[in-house]
Amino acid sequence: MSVFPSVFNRLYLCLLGAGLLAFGLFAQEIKPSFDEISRLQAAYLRNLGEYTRWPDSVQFDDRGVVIGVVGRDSKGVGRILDYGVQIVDIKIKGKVPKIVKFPDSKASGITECDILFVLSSERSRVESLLKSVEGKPILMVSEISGFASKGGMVELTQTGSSKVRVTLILNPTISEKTGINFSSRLLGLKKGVRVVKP
Amino acid sequence: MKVIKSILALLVLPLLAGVSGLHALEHGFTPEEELRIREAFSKSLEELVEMEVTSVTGIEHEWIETPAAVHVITGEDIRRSGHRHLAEILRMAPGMNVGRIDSWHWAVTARTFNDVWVGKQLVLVDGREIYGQWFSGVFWEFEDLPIDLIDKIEIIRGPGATVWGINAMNGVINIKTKKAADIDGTTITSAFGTDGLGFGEFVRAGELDIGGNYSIWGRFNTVPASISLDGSDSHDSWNSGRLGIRTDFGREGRYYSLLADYFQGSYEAEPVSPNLTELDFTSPTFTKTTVLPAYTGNSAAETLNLQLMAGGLLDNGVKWDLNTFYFTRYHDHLDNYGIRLEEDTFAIDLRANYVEGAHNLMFGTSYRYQHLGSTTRVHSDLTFIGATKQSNFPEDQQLDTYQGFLQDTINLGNDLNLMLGTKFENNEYTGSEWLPGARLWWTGVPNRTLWASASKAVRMPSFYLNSGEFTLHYIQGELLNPAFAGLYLPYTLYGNEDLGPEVLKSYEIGWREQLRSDLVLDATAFIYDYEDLLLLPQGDPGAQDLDLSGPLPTLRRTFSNNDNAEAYGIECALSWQATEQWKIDASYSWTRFNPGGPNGAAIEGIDPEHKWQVRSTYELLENLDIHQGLYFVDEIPRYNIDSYLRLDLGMTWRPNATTELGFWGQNLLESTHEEYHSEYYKKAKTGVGRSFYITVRKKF
Repeated sequence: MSVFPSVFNRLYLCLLGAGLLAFGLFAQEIKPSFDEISRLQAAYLRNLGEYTRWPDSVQFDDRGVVIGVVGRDSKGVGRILDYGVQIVDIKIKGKVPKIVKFPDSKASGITECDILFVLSSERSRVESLLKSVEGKPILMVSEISGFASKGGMVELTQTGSSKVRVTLILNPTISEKTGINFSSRLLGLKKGVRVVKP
Repeated sequence: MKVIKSILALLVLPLLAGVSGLHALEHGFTPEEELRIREAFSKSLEELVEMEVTSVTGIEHEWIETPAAVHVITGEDIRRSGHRHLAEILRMAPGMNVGRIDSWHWAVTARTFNDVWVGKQLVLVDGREIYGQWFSGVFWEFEDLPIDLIDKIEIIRGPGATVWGINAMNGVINIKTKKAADIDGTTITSAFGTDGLGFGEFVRAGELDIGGNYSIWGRFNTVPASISLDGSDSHDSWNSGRLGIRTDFGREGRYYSLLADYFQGSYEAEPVSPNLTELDFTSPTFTKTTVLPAYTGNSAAETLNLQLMAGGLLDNGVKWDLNTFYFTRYHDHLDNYGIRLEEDTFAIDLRANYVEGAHNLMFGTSYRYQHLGSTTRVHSDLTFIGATKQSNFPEDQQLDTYQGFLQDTINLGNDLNLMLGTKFENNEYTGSEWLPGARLWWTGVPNRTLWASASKAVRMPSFYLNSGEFTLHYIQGELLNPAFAGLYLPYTLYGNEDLGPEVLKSYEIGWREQLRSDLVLDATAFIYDYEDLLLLPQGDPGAQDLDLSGPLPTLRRTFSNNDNAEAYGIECALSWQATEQWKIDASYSWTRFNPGGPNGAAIEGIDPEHKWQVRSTYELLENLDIHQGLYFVDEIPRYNIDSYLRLDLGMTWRPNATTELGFWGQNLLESTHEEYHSEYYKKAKTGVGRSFYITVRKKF
């Protein structure tokens, strides 16, 4: 039987812990990871902007659609969108969209966007965020599980584990309350779309 | 050898840490990534929904930032593993001890103190505790959920008492089943294999005309007997059936889920009828040679669960979740002790969450009512020694438990977060307990989380330890004292109403990081200080245990809170998407356990010190995957169980979009090996044998 309490054992663990923390703290910052799912999410946001009709009060005659990315964007959705705008020259409604990044859902300027993409870091705040934009013609999109049933308009959901598809859950009942309508092409997709019933 | 292993363990984490330092900070995308981005932006909606991409283990970012030793097993992980029972599935988690004792008993716990009735591991299914108060543990043989119903299993190593309360000591296993809307149509799976192994299950979901979704499921199991190491039939085959239904409704940001689940199982046991000629009283130590057979008849069980889950958001921004259930079961699981156990539990749990500024406040309250009943049967096999009962329990016991908790997560700025919380619990056995905990974590580098925690957890005595009475041995009286010639003295374990709780003080640190887009590391080190452990006095029963107060002399022992112990160790896991087709998961854990009290011999050497595993899935063809699992488990000295290496291989083939055929081989390296043993069941040791089976999975 080992001696108890063992000073050596404690020292051993403390040393290990200190080493772990030191390496974790001082290891160089790595390149922000490129995430395949974020690539699809960014492409979806562009398509959603295209196949959504905003109410007449929102006009894009002299400006591009404003896409806000809310939360800790460690997978780089905003960066991919930026790349799309600057290099690939993507357009929505015939204009170059504007990409704005918000560190969290309490940041100011959120309600000035036309599309808000809510990242998973905002999971605990998603209900209050939805409350704060209630009635406003902002297309609310998120990767958070259950977003559409909680009152969001579009949920980008993942199916599969290693081989992943990103599909859509739409909640037109909520979007129509703000005057936002999904196009028939979006609602009529034969695969990859589920509509939340009222 | 062990020294070398320990040194290797010490080196593993720093070496892995160095990996992250190899990557210099860069901005922008590689040419290949640029091509991929351009490709995605050029896709139409119709093409996007068809696009399949490779993700590192399907890991959610939320997991990377979780400041605890959490491992998540997804439904797809399970299908690729070939494991077909909940307890077996838990092998895949780093740091988990899973040992199959026989065909229908498993010992499962995180880190240390493994046993058939662990007592220190809380297990929940959809927020409902399946931890049994009878003997402090989970009857895993009742928990055969359909594989296609399981959404994911979160395995939290380390205490979770601040939120989950008493008994969340070594860890919490949180099994989540799928919502009806997340089930795609109907899936039927059937399997058949060597020695009569087989199961069939179905899961079906759809939409209700009145709005909302429904799902129904069923599973039927037949499991052959385990292999007795002396070559005899171990008589422990079993079969079971389960049926369930769930409806989910969502309206204006609120959700309601109703669930009903019925289970029935029957379990073969050794048909032994002892008589005096079969017992050997010649041993001078009066011990196991005089043990009565552990099983004297078949066992049976039924359970029924009715559950309501609901949640929503109040106007003031408070998010709430309600979970309430009524659960009832009976079982003759311990038929050898002549007892039929009954349980009725009603519980209601309300949790709320409120975010204000830098604070994320979580609070909740719960109440649980339990009725535990028992019927002690006359044990006909004992009449030959003048006794009629081998066990005795209170016929009726009602337990009320009240809980409340408060936890605040504070964003301290500079990517530093602090979580402080405590739970208060009042129970009938140990009174009031406070269970505080604190966690600090830093997320200053994207995709990297460093965390540390300190917390207290307690385990309360079981119904058996508090009020039970089991006679384990009958000892020939004259071997103790010539005055007792002709008598057979019962050696009986008595519950003790004065027992206090076991206490654990836990300290952990951890590092989780997505090192590259295809590589994730999770590492944890921990120190556990156990106090007031509930153990029996050690050594053979003898004159010191003699109780002459009753009509017959008895050898009497009770449990006590006199022991301490410490445990410490490390756990390290890597998940690597090596190529687009090849995914590898590997983990290593090392645990050292030091009992420190007068009865420490009872718990020394009960856990493997080293464990590692490598699992991989390779997509050989678009419709053909190869799966492999290699598990090493170190020796278990307490039960003289050797270390073993277990190899599972499988292949899944999808001839069309709706059909999947699986070919599986398990424990391929040995004809049989022993994994664990239990002293509660005084039967011959059994092993886990090599087996083969085929699965057919069809979607409609």
